[in-house]
Amino acid sequence: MGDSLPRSCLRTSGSGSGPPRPCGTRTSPISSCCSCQRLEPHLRDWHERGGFGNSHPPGQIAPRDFMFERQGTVVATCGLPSGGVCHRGERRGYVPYPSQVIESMTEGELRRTPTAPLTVSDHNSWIVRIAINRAHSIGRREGRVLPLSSAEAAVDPSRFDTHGLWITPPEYFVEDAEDRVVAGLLLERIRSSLDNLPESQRQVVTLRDVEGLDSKEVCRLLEISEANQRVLLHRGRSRLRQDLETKFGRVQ
Amino acid sequence: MFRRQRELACQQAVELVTDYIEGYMSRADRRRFEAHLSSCPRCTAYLAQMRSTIQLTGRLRSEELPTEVMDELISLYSQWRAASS
Repeated sequence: MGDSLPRSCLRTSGSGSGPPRPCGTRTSPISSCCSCQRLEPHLRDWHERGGFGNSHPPGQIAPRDFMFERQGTVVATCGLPSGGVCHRGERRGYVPYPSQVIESMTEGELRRTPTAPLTVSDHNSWIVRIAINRAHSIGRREGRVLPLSSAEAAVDPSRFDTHGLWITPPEYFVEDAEDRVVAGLLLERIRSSLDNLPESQRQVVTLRDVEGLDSKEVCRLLEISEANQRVLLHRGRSRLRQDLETKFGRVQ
Repeated sequence: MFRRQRELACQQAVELVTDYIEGYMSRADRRRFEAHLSSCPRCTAYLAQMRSTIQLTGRLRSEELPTEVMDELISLYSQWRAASS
């Protein structure tokens, strides 16, 4: 089991949620693998030196080698010490992004990547941490203000009377959220609603409520002021709630 | 009359929900907000829905996010990368 063994190209055609279908091209040395040629030189060196274990349990991903896969499509392969294919074709190796991120990383950063098997979630957090550290290293532009529309209200003003009291109160939609079917539908809706948010709101809501970063981290990452972050978060969440109500709400 | 003017209207209260959830309010504003909730089941329901929305959003896993969302995060990273090099 050494680096001298021939390796198999895992490049796949198309994209999708399923496991990649190896093209089966045997490649030796690995640098002749077509997908590897897309790598920057320092990554190609690292790639050629690479030797990765393949004993990671299902649900976990091998450190580093996940980095070249994206959305079910292997954009570059690396370190297949056994030269095998099947064990790499399993779900465990996927994370939905960061090939572009990794391709732009320095060798030093690559060296500091986690060395133990991590969950996909762990890796996502790690990528975000790197991004935050980068933001630190180039300095913050405190007080940067994004243009915000002052017209956007959390709730359509027509739902209130002239005294600001509800005319059309919120409709119920979440009492069955623990029901697996309903929860699945709600999640699906949330996902598409998130996708439809304005970019700045989507970024803040994603970082805060999906990635779980705190407000200070988000401000640093996006280089926005705390006040901006609050407004964007409020508007983004309000839109998501409204979308759920529109789709699932019913008057009680 | 003076007291009534200081009471929150529902339309104002819904704009303060995130500040309330995030703990951004002063103690006085918080008391005022909670006083409104205590007499307004509709705004109480609205607050509960916002909490549920946040909870649901938190159930999304990063790998399930739309491609566009992840592309934005990657783009952010790339910008920092470019700015720092």
